[in-house]
Amino acid sequence: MRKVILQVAVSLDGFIEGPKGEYDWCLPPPGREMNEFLKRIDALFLGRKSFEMIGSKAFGKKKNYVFSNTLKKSSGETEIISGDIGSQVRRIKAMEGKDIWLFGGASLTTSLMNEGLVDGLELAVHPILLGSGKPLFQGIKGRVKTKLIDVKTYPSGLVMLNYSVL
Amino acid sequence: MRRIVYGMAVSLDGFMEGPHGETDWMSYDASQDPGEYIKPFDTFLMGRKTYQAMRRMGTGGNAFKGIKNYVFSNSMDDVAEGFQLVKGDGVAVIDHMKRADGKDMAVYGGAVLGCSLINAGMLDEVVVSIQSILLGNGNPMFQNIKKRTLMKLVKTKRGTRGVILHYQVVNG
Repeated sequence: MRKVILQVAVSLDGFIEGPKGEYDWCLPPPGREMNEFLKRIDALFLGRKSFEMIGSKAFGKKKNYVFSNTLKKSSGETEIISGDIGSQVRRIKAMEGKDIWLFGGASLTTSLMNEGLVDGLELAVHPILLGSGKPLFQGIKGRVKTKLIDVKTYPSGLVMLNYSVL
Repeated sequence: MRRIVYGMAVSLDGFMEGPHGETDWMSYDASQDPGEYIKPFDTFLMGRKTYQAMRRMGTGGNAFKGIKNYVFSNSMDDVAEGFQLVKGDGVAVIDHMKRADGKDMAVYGGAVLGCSLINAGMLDEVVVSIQSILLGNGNPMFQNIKKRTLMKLVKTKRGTRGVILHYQVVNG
């Protein structure tokens, strides 16, 4: 079964964006780890806004699953997912393939977390407090146990925390 | 100048207690020796809620050897033996204490106090012990932070159940 991995940059106080949508505080991702990660995955899960921001070819030739009830059918490597998220994600996870990068945004992350469909968390914790903004985790219903797999630190002050979701 | 350290155990989603004040999800980490942690300190700074929680658990003012306990509250009139009550402008009092002689000071529980020191540009270090669980809701360690605050990563330590991130606050 393919794994769904939430990999995201987050401030020390848990925000993925500043109060006005800022992400200028994000450090460049460590090159080697990012390349390894991109080799591990062959598809992305994105919300509409994230998709419109990065486009369909930001990370090379990957399948893009865009979760939206308003977008029309796109072509090529982009597939629009609408309606019941849970059953469709289960179908995609059961397909042949590599792991899937849950890119965001926040409401897609919440839905998949609450459906128990996220297998791993790779959090790039940034050495900054933003004070306010869009929280990485919101609307999580109840406790979710995880297991710490790996911790990596970088000279920039970035800490990569790698968890599996239990 | 004495340093002030704000250290807390939090869930992976940043809460130091659950929505009803629960702390049952915190696991004792055998690799962390509390005696070792308090070594650099001779002063604990706490707010009313932490003080009252300590009293409910029967913790007295002499629980930590060689530590002076200061309680910052404008609503209380009296505190138990071994604690000292500070009324009025707590930040100004702490600023004065920071310049006095002594070992380092720790914010002992109390997100309101810890975060008001961050906002005042007076906090020197942050220690976040991240437990491997999401709570979904609760009382966050960082709240009402008024502006972006940069940190410098000092060290990380992986424990048996989680990870401890130690930062210096970049003030100014």
